[in-house]
Amino acid sequence: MLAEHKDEAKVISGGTAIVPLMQEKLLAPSYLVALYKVPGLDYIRHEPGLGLRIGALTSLRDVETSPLVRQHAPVLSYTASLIASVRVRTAATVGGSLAEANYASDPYGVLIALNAMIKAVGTSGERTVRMGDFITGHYRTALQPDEIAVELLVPEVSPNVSATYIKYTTRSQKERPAAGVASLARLDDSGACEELKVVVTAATETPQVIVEAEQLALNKKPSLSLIREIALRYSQQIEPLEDHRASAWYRRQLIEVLVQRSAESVLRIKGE
Amino acid sequence: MNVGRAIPYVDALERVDGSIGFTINLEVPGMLHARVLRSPSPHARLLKVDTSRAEHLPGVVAVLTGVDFRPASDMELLYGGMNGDQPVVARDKVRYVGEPIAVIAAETPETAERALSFIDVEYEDLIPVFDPYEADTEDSSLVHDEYDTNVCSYFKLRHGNVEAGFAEADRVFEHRFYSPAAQQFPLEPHVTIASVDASSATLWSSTQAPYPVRESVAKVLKLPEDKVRIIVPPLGGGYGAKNFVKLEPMVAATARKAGRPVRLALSTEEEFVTVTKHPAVVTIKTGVKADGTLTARKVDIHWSGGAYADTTPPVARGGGVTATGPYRVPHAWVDSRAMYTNLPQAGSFRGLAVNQVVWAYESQMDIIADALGMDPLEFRLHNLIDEGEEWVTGERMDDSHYKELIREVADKIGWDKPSRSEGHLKRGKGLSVTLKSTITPSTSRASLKVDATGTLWVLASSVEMGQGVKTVLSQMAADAVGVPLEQVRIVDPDTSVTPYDMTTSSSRSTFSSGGAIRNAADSLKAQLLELASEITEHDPTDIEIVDGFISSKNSPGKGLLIGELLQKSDRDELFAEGTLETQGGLDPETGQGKASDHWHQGAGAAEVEVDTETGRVAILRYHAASYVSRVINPTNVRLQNEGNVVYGLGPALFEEIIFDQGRVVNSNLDSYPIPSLEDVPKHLSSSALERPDAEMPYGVGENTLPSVAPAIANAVFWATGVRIHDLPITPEKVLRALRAKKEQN
Repeated sequence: MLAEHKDEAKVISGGTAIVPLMQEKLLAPSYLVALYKVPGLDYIRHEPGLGLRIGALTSLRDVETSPLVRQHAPVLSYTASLIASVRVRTAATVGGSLAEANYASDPYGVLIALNAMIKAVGTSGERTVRMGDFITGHYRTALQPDEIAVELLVPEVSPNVSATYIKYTTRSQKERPAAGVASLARLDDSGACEELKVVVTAATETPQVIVEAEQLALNKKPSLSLIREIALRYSQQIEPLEDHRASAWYRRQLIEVLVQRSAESVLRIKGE
Repeated sequence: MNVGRAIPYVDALERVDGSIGFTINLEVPGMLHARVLRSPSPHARLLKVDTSRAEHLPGVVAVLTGVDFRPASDMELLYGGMNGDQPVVARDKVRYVGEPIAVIAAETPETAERALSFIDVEYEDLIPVFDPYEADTEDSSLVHDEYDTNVCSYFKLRHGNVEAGFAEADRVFEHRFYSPAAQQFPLEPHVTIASVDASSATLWSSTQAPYPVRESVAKVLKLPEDKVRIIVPPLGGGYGAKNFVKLEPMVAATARKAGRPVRLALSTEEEFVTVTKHPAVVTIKTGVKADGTLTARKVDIHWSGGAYADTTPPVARGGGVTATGPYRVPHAWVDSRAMYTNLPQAGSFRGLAVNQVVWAYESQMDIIADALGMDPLEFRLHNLIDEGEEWVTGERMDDSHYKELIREVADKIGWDKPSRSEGHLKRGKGLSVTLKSTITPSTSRASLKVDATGTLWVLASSVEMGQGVKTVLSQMAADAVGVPLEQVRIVDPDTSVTPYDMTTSSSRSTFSSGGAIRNAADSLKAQLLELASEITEHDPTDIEIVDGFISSKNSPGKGLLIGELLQKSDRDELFAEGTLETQGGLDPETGQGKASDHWHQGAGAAEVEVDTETGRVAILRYHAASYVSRVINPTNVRLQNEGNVVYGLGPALFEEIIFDQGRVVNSNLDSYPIPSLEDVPKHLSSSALERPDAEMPYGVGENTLPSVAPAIANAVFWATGVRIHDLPITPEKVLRALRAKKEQN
């Protein structure tokens, strides 16, 4: 159906993304392809060596409360707990909230930091897209019109990794983020940094990673001045957008503060 | 005794099991569904409104436009809560983005919605005016051509000689404070169903003001008022949004044209163009002696009233008269000018008008205290009026408890203990006090009826909107007559059944309807005692009514139930009426006289923690206090005192309607968030102050709301040294102010 009607058709599962867009008349699809009754896409499984496999029709509430997710990717469970409200999380599905690609969303940064992948199925078969390549713009993804996301794959997280997510709202605590920062770090036995990932979300149309800033930390013992330098580079190299949650100027200040806090948390205090 | 007890809401069960009959859930057989075509232009002449294509769509039954109000027609175009300035639908020109131009009634909501795009409208754009100062200039474009001015309402207060007052002062301070538009946001939107024929009309409507609605609908339909019946089921929230007249004339007129009942329920987006809080700029100049004694205050307020008056005149008055605060100000001058602008009409908003002025005078009190090196609590105590003092209106302020209230909140917040700050997290405390008038003069009537089953029926037109009015009126009626609470039944407002009440607003229902019920109860009791005296041959003065049981004072335990008495006397029922009328009023040139029958008094104290790296303000602790004279139900009072704080956090910290050339940019919960439970301070508490000998309760619906924003802003100031003048207190504003301060140093 999607192949036949192209942009005239949209996919609906939980409805928390598409229904508001239709109410605001930003979308007026001729056809809604409802997935709620498609069997076999609501699951959370762990396969040793591979990681977590989460079906696209799994609710965000299930991701939040799943003992498997808590055990194997606690930062994902924590991040899910910050999205909207329990009511919305109960209706919203993993596939829908990823495919919505609203820039002001919480989970993208953590999934990129965790090297998550999305399995998509279309008329021409199945393929896997890295989360880092999935969001291509505001409300735009790498999915073709005839494709749907069917599974989220979260690779195994090694035990010496620490990861965190900071959600920052400027108005009600319950609203969408004005900025979000997800960080992940791996330290060796001597305390030197083997890996650092920092992803800034909700400040621009697509998630932002400044690789050259991340690499500053490699093979070094983290220090406050190092973290400040990383934070500064993030705030200087990202061109934030402006909306009614925050101005571009304010987002730039936020990026510096939140990247610093987030990196401090994963590089100096093991947790999450 | 029921008064003073924390009994649960009498309608608690219906609220929980969902059986409570909100208007939004109501259906009338054969009803049509209406949708409204709204103006995309803030100010334009209507050159053409062609509905012919829409009318011919299958399923469309009627289309209402300005053409239906030709002089000879059976309907009148203009109505209006206050000035009669508002057309049912726009006829000659549109005055704001969102103004109704046409109403379509169709068999289904979808058909009505689709038909909107088949109406052809041609506009000739006119120059709009959005800013109340610009609207107040000679060469401004006119919102209403026929008035020659954009002044919608102008309140003046003149007391003493303000220039002499400034001359006496050692220091004079002048500041400007701004409050933006905000949305009341009742969770149940405005909804009206109208059933109209040639000689009568029945409306079910989510309104706080059944009688003013009846008056306007009767005018529009050219019917006598007694042929118009307004039925008001419980409201899913009001907060002022449903005060006075809103959708009712439009729906009634459409129903007449359609010849069938018509229902209209607004979308969230439409709520934002139906009523808002008044944007207001308050410029306040204060003279003070070196010892902290206020000598004079001069206040200029410019309100943006939007395109139509609605409740703007009482806003200009209510905010103007209280603009100098509950302080001893020997010389006062207030100009409160409410302007027509090309924005959606502003109207009643919980804490009516006082939110905007308390934001100004209580912020400035702390600025002055800081400049004089005085403690903000001491500075206030030095100037707050005492019991029985004369005030800026010339009236005696009896029953004044501002000093007790501010001491109470200061004590509960630990004012004398310094807040501890750590690193970039700075803590501070702030105080604020509020006075607010209640509509004066005003009238409420109530009737009581007992029947042969012993049931006590309460007929009053106070609207239940979640504030618990049914519960407190039941408690008051039960005690006033002497029957158990379980025997009391409250009848929902229905203008054909329940007697006149001005409006459910201004925190007046417990006082006004409660007072009318007590007066009715005196008369009903007299009838019961008379009847009992005839049957028992005791003197009426020897008889008492306790718990629905009528007995001689000398032989308690022996006697009759009320129902038995009526049966024995062969009476089906007894009926009594009561009225509560308040007196007062102000001289239009000087604002001198009696502004309020009694005063709503409140205070608040906040402790905040400011993240100086992001500017984010966290409310650690808040204590609210109000003077209530007498508590009817401690739970309800606490819910109001604390609910006000939660409600007030939104406009204080983040709520703001953003307009782009008159068009609302953020008109749903995603773009306009309201406080959630997670935004409620961890430590939120309240006190209700009573007077031991008090008989009558005072209202408590708004007392603690206006202080929320200034108490927080003052706490932010004492935490960081930065002062926010423009609401809301967003993290971005705080961070900018912190950076600016850093650059200065």
